[in-house]
Amino acid sequence: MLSIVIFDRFLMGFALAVHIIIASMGIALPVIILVAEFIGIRYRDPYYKALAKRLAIVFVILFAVGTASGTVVALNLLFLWPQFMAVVGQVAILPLYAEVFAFFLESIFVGIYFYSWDRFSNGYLHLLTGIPVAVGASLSAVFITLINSFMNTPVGFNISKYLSTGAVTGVNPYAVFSSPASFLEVPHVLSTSFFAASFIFVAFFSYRLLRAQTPMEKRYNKGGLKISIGLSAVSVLFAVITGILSIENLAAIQPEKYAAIEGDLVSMSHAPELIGGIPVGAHSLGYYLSIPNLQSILLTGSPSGVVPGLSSYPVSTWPPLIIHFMFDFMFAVGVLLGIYLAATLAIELLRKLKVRRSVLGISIEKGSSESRTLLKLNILAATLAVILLEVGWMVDELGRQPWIIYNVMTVSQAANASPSVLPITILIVLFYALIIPFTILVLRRVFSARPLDKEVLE
Amino acid sequence: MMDPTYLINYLIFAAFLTLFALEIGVATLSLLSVEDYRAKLASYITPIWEVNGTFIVFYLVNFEVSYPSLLYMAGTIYITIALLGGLILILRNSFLAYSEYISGDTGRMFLRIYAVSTIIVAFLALSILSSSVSGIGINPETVSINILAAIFNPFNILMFVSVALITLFVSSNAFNIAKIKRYSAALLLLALAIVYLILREYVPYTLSGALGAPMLAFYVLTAIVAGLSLTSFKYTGYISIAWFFIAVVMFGVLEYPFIFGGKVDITQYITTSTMAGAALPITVIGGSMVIASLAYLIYINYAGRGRRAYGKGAGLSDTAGDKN
Repeated sequence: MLSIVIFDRFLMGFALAVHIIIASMGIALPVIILVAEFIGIRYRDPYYKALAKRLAIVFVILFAVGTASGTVVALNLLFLWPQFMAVVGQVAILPLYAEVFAFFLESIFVGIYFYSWDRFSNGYLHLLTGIPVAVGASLSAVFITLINSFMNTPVGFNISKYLSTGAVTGVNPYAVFSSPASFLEVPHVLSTSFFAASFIFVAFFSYRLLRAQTPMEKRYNKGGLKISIGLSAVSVLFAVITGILSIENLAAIQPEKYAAIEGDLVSMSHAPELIGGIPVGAHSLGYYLSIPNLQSILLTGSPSGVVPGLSSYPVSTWPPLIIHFMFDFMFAVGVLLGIYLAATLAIELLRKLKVRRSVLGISIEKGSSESRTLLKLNILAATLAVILLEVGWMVDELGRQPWIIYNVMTVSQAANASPSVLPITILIVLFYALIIPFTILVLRRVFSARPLDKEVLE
Repeated sequence: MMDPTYLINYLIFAAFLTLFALEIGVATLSLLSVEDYRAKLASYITPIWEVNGTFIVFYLVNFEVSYPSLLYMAGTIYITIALLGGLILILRNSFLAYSEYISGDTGRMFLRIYAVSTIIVAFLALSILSSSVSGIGINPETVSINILAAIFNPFNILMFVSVALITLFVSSNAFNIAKIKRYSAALLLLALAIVYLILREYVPYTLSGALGAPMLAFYVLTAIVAGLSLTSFKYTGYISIAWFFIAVVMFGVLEYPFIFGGKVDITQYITTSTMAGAALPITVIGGSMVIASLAYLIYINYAGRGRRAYGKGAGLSDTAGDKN
């Protein structure tokens, strides 16, 4: 039974890890396309128009793969975790149901927007048909995250009666829309998705700029880079603010997760902030950097404030302490990327102010998109941003262990114990391993068969 | 009196199956190398393939809303077939999208991969439907399945054959493909005869309502549609699509309320009235939005058809349009 549960978890985790990246790109890309099309129409700029059209091809192909990988996730939810879905179906299914309509809105308007470029005499009308694509994609993320918030803070039914009898009673189907975790989790997930996905496009355009040989290619890719960096900068602000607030909220709504993230073994006042360290045994930390009182101050505003500790809870419900290191990594990389983005924007600002100096070998006069060092750093930063997105989800999910619905149902109770999951797991992993590189190859072929100059001059 | 939750869920299923049947028809016809008509088929599939994909999720989630306590049984029994179908669905989506933007022989090969994978997805989906009707290979008491027995049995195979024939009937009329249309009435009657024989042999209880007034009206409608397919009446395509939708609904009426060969009464698993009532406004609002958006999609892509965005040298219609 245990090994099957591990396979269930692996398959779900794998499918989600892949889908999160594709879905995040599906959230950010319509916004980038719409901004590019708007600039193209507003300033009659053929480069931005071409950018919008070419990115639309990327979107359609990603959407096709993403829609299907989303369907696999939906199938996984139902078939790997039938007991979990049975409770969700009776209590908290409405966001998932509403998500279907958001998904419909998106997919129908994909059919309108991406196949009707030349059917509107007024370009702004075509632009308008793209807005439901962007809104639908973001709404889908909102609704799906509401289900995850329910998993973290279940509401909308009589939990004590369910725990004692297994019967679902006292159902309020709308409570899931305002679970305690949702108010911060939803904006945090949305902003981090935008952040990571727009950074992927920062990397893409940086890579293209490094290889660009003609002024036309450079101008075209600079346009994409500017929009992507702008979106990254806006979203990172929201991601940081909602992330900080989420941690404070976590101490109240999921104290075990908070304690594991902070590495707090005992509840205490004057709690230090523990940074890094090494696991000592299964349930303790050692060799960490400790800043006295900081954690109490950050959480409660006072050095004598009390922070939750794991020892207040049964060891069997402790999340794995590895999330402490994952969180520290996430925080450090997030701050680093924030500073990096701020520095990039500062260079652009100084360039606009016509400052003619070099900083760390980077010529401000030329700007960030001309510096090969910065372009290479962009690619590294994007890799870190994607890792950040994945680690963030892992912290959220591992931090809830052993529960699938916090304090209601464990992962083992929810799992499908059918051995038939084993071969299909291997098949799905192999399949994804082939289809994603193949999709990238197809995209390369699509663009190599479409000379940029022809599209710009069209 | 049919439970409204069952009815809504089944109507969604019927709508999905109707759209998907047209796509299966496109896939089958493209494999049959009906070159002269490829552009016409492509003009249908290009703008709405993703809507069909979304419909699968719509049905799945509505099923979760409608039958939460059936999910354990359904999940345990159908995990392998469903996940395999999901996997091949990725293939279907990906290769259709690839073929959109790659022309020439590679594009045609991608289109064939799309067509074959669509037919396999249809076969697996139909295997779930057939086995849920017949119960062959399934033991609801132990919540187990013998996959080979559930798929490779005469009921399932013959059901697939008859659905394929019906699909050819509908799509040849919908796309006005004369080569097949002239035989389509015969294909339809053959398919319905097969359905009748296998129902009588394996799930005779479903035929208890076969002589009721609604079914008699359906037979008359079927005769009219079969007759129209022999004429050049311009609305035969729309009427045959509507007929298919009604046929699927009638099948659900005959089957109601049992699944798994009469061993399980599905109404026992229907959600609470609280949840059903809460889901209804979302169904109405979301459904209205979907219908309005689809109408706009059809208007933009069919009524207002002009030059396509990446028109020349790309897309299904152009791959197909080589001979046009």
